[in-house]
Amino acid sequence: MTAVIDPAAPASTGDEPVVQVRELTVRYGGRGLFNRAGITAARRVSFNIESGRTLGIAGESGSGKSTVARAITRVIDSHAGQVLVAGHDVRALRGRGLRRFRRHMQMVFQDPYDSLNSRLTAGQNVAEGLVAAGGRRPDHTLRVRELFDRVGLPVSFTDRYPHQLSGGQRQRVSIARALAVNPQVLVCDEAVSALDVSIRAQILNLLKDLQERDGISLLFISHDLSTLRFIADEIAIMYFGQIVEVGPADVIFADPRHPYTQALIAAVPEPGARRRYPRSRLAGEAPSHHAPPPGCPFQPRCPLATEVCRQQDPALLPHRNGNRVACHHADDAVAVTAAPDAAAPASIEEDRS
Amino acid sequence: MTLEPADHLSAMATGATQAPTLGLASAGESAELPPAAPGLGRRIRHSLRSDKPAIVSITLLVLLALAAVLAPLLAPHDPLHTFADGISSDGAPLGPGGKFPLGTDPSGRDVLSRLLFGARVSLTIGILANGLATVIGVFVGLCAGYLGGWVETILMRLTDIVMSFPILLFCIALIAVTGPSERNVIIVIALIYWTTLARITRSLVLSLKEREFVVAARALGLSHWRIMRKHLFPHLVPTIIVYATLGVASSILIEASLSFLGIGVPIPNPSWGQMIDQGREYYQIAPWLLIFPGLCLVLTVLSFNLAGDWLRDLLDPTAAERR
Repeated sequence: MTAVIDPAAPASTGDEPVVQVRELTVRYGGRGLFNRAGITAARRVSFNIESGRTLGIAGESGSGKSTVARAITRVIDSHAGQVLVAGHDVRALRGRGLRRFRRHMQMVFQDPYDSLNSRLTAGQNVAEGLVAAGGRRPDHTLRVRELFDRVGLPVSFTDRYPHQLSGGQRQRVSIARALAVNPQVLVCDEAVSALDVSIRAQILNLLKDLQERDGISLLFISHDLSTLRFIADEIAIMYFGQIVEVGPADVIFADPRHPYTQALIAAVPEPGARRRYPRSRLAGEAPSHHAPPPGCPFQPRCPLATEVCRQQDPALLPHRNGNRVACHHADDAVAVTAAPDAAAPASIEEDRS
Repeated sequence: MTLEPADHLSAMATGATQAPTLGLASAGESAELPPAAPGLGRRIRHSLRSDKPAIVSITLLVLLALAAVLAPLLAPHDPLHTFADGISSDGAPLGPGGKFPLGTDPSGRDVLSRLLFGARVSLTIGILANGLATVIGVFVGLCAGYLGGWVETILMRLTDIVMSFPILLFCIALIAVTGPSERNVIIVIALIYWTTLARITRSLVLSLKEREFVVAARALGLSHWRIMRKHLFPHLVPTIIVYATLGVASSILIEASLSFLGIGVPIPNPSWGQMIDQGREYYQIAPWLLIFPGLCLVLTVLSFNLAGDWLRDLLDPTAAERR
């Protein structure tokens, strides 16, 4: 990495990642009188996001992607670890300090039909962001128009109610509302998953465009790897609340080392007949949070699982290709393709038809 | 029709999706724009035109309010005056007709005059007591549901305690301390009736605050007060209106019970509840004593409910669209 020193930037923030997450753990429940168990939805998650870059988080439902997003934006509380955003210790913030911090980081949500207040017009929804930022009220109309322009919406839409707009248009309004506070980090929690494929590309391009212009960092959460390939610089794969593999997007796609990553990539539909991995189908479901399996959480579904996997939870360690991988068999993970019938149990089935 | 400025962005699309479809899709997206939302004045006129029950009920409520305000001018007699010729020779009240259009009560007073003056009392108590109860209930429910934690525990236990009181005993105790008057009756009814709305509001808020737009408002860093006012309260209005209009009826009826026990509106001032209670004893020999105030009460309550339905739809921009 080359250290580019921008004379205009404050010295302390030179090339510090804008988001630093260390060993973040989030539990749900477990505080009541009768329900002491609780579940751990995110376990010791660590990652950085450099200024102006995009981290994508992928994983199946219940893998803890959204939990991580909500914990670092302090929409929910976390239970251990450290989250630094733009120099603020997010987990320690309370009350007024927390409210003031929120303008550094904004969220765009999945459901365009639920993420806008249906009782306010599109313009009023965006103006709520300006109120939060604490600007002068008379300037709001003008600023709302600027923001609509920035996200590619006609200014005449400010008087429309959300139900009069399409899904893509609503998502643009959501983005405008988030931009109203001039955030450094935008967290997109499945922000395009509910949209048509063509509209999806427009929104992704809009986000890329905004990122290039304003240097916003993105945390982009999606279950769809093809979306992440398009927008993310780095990709983290989550499974059962843990990051199982993280690395530059092109390396994740070119040389995935974790069998779960390989299965996800194999599931991405690709035009043309070329396919580096056989299309494999993961059998079974993610383990229950109430009865986690011993050792590696992926072990019950893993074709490579051996005795060590059933006893030890693998640590997230650097691999020589530049990724960090949490797998005891990161070096021979290609065995899935090389010898599918070797010692693999029936948990990944071939489907070459 | 203007094209979206976003179109130039779609041309940049690469990777996962194919570019040629994008221009078409974005044009399609902007092609079917609904007209801008009409103003409130136009929406009121438009929705009234298509809602017959609303017209009837609002007309009735307006007439009722006029009758209450103009009671001294409209009433043929003094509502408190006992007429010597208001009772038949064997001591029974007179039926409708003649000098007394709606008959007389057992004390020889004019029923029509008492109904008109009673409208003042019943409407005032119904609306004010219930309005006060709604304000308290919604505020308590909003704070408890949204803030959670110890605020919720304290407020909801308080609600449980008030709910567990026997209503009449509670009223008797309070009025014994404060003395019977119209103002005290209003306060006492409000102190009982806020609990139902507090619980309803809290349960609504509990589900509302998980909705993405409320999470977004929190993530923006808006103050609790603003989130409650701008992002939660407007979504509660439809339900509040329905319960508040139903509550008007309950409040009028509670006032009747209190009057029956002699701790409501001080006798001999008329109220509908008092008249119904009195008529109950004579319904076999003088059914008009029960029928006329009962009819007034039913029509009033029905009008409040129908007008409430209309108001709820009017205030909901998505419902207005469906009409």
